[in-house]
Amino acid sequence: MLKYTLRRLLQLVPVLLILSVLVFSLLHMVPGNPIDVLMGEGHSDPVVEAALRERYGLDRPLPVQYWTWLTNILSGDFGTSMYSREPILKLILERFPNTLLLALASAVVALAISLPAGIIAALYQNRLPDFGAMAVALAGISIPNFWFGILLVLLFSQYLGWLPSMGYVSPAEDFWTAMKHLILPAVTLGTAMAANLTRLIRAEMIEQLSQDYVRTARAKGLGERVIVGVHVLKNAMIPTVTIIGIQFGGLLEGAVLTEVIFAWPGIGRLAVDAVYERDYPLIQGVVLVAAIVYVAVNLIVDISYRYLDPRVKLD
Amino acid sequence: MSDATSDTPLLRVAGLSQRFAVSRDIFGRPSQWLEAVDRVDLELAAGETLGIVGESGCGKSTLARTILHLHRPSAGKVIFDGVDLGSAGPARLRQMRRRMQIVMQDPYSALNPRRTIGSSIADGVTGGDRRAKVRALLEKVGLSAGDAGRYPNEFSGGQRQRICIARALGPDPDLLIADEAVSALDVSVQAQILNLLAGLRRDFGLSFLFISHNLAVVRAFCDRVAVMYLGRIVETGPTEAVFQDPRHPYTRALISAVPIPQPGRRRERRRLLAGDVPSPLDPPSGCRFRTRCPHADEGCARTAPVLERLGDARQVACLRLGTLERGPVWAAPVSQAEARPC
Amino acid sequence: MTNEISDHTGQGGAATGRGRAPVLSVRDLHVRYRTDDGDVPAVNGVSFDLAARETYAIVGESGCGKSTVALSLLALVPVSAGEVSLGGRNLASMRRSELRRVRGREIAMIFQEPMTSLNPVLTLGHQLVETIRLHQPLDRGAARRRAIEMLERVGISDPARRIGQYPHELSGGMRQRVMIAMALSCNPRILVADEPTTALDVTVQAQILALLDDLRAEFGTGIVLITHDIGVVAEMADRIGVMYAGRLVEEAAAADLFSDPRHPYTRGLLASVPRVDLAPRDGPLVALPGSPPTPGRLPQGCAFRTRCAQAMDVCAKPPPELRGADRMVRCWLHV
Repeated sequence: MLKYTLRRLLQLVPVLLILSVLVFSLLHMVPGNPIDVLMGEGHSDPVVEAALRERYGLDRPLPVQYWTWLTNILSGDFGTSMYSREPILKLILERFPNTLLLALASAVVALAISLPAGIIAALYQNRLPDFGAMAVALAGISIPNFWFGILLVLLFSQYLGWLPSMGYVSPAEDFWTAMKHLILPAVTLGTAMAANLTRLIRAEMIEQLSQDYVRTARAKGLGERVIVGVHVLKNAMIPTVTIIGIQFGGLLEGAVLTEVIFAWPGIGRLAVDAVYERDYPLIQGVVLVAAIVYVAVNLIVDISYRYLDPRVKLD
Repeated sequence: MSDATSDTPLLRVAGLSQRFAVSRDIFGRPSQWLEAVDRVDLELAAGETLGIVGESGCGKSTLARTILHLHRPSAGKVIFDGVDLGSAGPARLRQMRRRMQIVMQDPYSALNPRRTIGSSIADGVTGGDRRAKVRALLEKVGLSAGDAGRYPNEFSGGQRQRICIARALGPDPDLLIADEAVSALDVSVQAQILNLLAGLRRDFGLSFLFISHNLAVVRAFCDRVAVMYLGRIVETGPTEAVFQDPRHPYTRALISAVPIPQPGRRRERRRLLAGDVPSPLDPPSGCRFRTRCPHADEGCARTAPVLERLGDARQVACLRLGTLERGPVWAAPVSQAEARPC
Repeated sequence: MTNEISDHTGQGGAATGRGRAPVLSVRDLHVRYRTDDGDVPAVNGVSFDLAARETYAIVGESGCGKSTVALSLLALVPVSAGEVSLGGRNLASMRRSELRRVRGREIAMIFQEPMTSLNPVLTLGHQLVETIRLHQPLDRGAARRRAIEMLERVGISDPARRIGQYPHELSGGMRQRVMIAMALSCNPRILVADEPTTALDVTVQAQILALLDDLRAEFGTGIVLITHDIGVVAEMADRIGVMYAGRLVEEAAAADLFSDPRHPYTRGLLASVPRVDLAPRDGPLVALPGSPPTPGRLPQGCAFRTRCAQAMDVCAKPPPELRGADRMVRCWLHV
């Protein structure tokens, strides 16, 4: 177990290195120059420009820039934001818990919808409840996320006035108000994930229901409730967890739009703002952190396999 | 077509081993091996049929694939018609492989469902009028020439196995490897396919490597037999000699475990082996059979027995051979007439 | 053992004039499967009786409907018509709740694939204890002790440790032993064994067959054995029903069926089995022509007539079921 985790972590080293090179070079290949941004539109003063270049190390060869950047990051220094002049790590660490909260809440919403929907659809395969669940799931996949979010805002905050339309309150300050602010973005993001998950859980349940062990369970005299709720569900959850892991990475991506719509102060909005400001060091930092989180989530999923599926040996 | 004379065998397998890495360490180097085939020696003369029997995990199917060089052997040689396949170049290997065809267990997955059986068979046919040859092959295996345009799903399991045989005959092979080729078939159909194979052997002088877990079928079909256990051959010899007087304790147990289709004989000779075949990942030291052998002593854990030649063209790998019982495993021989009511 | 078995065969009888009341009685069983091509009859009027402690074997080739018969004995497939009587109650018409009390307690089943018949993500203990507690008023500890006792009885070493293991940690033979332990844990009167050794190696098969026979004697369980293996039938069965295309075509005590098979299909089937204990005769093996028919595309009248060397004009009409002298045959030749 420990050996497996260590090996996986070791395997991550080259992956992350390649990633860092990509992140680094990507931003140096796109048009637009951070110095221009700093100088302001229309101004040009070669002396100031040269001074700025030197200050940010942009005058040195790219490999040297990369090496400096990388070693700094390894020592925890992601640099300073060109715009706000604050340390990037601090900016990211401030925002990251908010995004994580939103992602987790969305995952809960997604499971709360897709688990019962998928199971019912599978049990009533090719009958009315199945068609109903699948139609809703298809709609969920087809409807653009941001549009659905706006609809929710219109209904629940503009029209009914039940929930705030945007903003963020820390749960540490006021838990209930925080939850109220969380609901709409979480539902927006969670329903998109739920649509896919419902289809997956349905397919997985149908597959498992035809397995030999289900026949054995029936032959023993077990009731359908135990068969579905214990025997089948435990098997069906194994592939489902993989997909949840993959989609969790997707949740972070989806967070960009949702965070903008709901003015949610997360990583996604930080990234968008950074792009608008051409805040190169900040973009690099955000992208790198997002990539690391993605890789880490996948590692956690693989390790959690062991607990779900006794057949998987991790060594 | 074959250069083999009577004293050079068509196929010679010497010291053939095949192992697979089943787990790797932190740097991706193999840390655990599965020895599927361990130093196997075989010879097969032109026109001869050699049966390979054994239980699951004994390595018989891996042996077939390694002989065909579908896997590169870990050690040892396969010499087919005088050519060492291990040192042959790709073109030469391909050319030799065409002369060794394989028919497998599952006739359902062996055929491409989207192609007509005629085009599947035509793949292997070379030169001349391919369509005429396909029609001739279909008739040879007991189907009709008109079936060439039909699809696999229109045929029963037995018919599909006939199609697979026709396909294998396309390149005019010298050696047919039948890997559990009749195991998935119903008994009534199994007999048809065995008769078909026997006819091909007679008409074309084909050699057979007949791999099966079904001992009764092997006794009915093979000239010689080799018994495998956990990757090693434990006994080999002429089929009737082995069945009438099995010498290795495993051979004896294996033969006596087969249920006999005659109620009066039930249980009279049963020698139950304890336990299951050990995992090939962790085979016992010394003689691999010793953990289940009723005759094993300390010496069997230390020394791995090698095949020793007995008088009657037979070889047995057992350290305790001299002290063991022998003779038929069934107490009372039964006459043919009594045994076969029909 | 041999003596005991011949006792059984001596006492056994056809549905008419049996010494003992049957523990299981199947009458005119029909099962139809719904497919894209319409309804397909898989079982077409099967009747037989199982006496206590008896092994009744149903033998036949693939697609003959024998496994469907097995499943319908526990109503695991919908029975279209006919009766499966268990102590006077018809299992085929029971409500679900009633059925759940019968399954596992009075009639249990083991399957062909021990590798997939156990739930891969639940421990053996979970699966055993769950079965025991379903039908017996035992607390968890007592059920666990019973589970360990059953595992020990079926020849599993170190059962207290094994009980915490998962199916993949066991070999195929061991899993089938666990299946047997589970099936017999509530002491059912009837065990349905559907090809119980087909997926196993021959040395392991011998162990499992011996175990089944011992347990039958010890627990007094009647066994319905479904198999395609004529050798297994000869070893295990007291009575044999030969099934072809959804029907029993012949039924007799084991010794009688092997010494004097009457239906041409039975004769062909027995003759086509190669013998491990006899040197082969010269010449080709006896083989039946053609292949077993697919359900739904059966010939009119006798379903076997297209493969039968002795077929006559009259065979186009359904053959009568002829009973007498403790046996049954469904063939125009014997009218």
